[in-house]
Amino acid sequence: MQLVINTPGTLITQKDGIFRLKNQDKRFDVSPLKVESIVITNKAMLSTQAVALSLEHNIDIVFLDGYGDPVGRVWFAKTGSTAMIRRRQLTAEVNGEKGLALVSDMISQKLDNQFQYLKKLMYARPGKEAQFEKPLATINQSIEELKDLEARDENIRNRLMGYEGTAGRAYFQCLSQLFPEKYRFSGRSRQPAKDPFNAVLNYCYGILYSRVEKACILAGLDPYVGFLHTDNYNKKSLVFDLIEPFRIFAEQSAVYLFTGRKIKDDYFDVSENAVSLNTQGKPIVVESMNTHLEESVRYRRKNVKRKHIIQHEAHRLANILLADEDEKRPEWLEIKEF
Amino acid sequence: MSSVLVWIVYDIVEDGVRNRVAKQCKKFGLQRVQKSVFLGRLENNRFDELGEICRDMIDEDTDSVYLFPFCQEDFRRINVLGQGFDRKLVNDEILAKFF
Repeated sequence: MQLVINTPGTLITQKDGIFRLKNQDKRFDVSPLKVESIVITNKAMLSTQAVALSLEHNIDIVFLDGYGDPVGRVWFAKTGSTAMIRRRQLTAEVNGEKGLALVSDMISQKLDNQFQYLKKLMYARPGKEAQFEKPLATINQSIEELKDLEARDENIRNRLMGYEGTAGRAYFQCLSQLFPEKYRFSGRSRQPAKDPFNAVLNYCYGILYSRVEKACILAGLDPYVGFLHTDNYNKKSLVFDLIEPFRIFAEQSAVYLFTGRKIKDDYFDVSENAVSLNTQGKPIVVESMNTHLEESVRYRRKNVKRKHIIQHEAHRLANILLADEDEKRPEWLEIKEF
Repeated sequence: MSSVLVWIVYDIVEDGVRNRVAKQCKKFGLQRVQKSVFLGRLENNRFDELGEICRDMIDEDTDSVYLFPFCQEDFRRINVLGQGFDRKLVNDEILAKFF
């Protein structure tokens, strides 16, 4: 399970090899064997022994900021990576071709996910096909144009991002139409979110970021060396690249909360031009996201939990980087759930 | 890794030994449901491991420890009267615990 600390002033200690959470007269003991990660979203106190215990059991401690974005984590001293993967990652980035081929695979998977998801939503709403037609066509066009991209094209980065943007706008506009009247939104907004949907979606993406980052580190990849999102100081470029095919997981959970009318006004703090989730809303969103990631879907002819797909793909990315130039590259990602 | 639901029930004469067995059960992630009864889900090889650890601690002439594996179907049919345990917690169904 994931331990989420969201009561301010919680004390996290260790007793006889077991985590002990204390807050005034509330107490909870849990064995490290049952814990996957400890997520700290609020003010808490953490003993060094508890940290050591979680390191011993491969449990990562993640700190989230008020938006639910990971700001840091406690990780082992060993990276678990081979220096080789990192070196290949760097050359793939510098020489470009392999890296950009990987990136355009990831982006086209992302667009394909959007396309399939809208189609699925359309079939669930007989008689409303008309409002899906245009966005589906737009996304499809971006997918087609992406196929024609030559790796040698100088502006490939800009063009990739262009197609991605066009498809994304059509996609989110279409989603908005499906929501109850008062929750409709106009486009994406990050820090700060301007409406409840964006607040929920940003929070879901935040959870996903930390999962993808963890998957990268476990696979021996350097989260800071990306292909499309070229590295800026202190930016997790690879995480931004690798998250693309998985964003659909966050979008599905967020959309479901709204179309399924699970969202209440009380879940949000609204200020002048920002909307954010409050302590009532966060558990609902985390719960929905976790349940979604815990579900098994068909993946490479096996039934795999969504959360494990992320790890599989990170390992696969590492293997592709290690493989020699002329070796045949397997399909990027086949999530068969639609 | 396949796992199994287990009841652990013991009768141990010495206080020290009894406490140590209880601590081990907690460490393995089992929930205490009565003073000398633990319940929870264990990976198969952990089940054997816990059995061996308990065997080493107890005095086999005076004490007894039972490790009962049982199945999901039986779990659903458990009838609890009075103060019960948290079913989801025991069955590892809680994905996120908020505290």
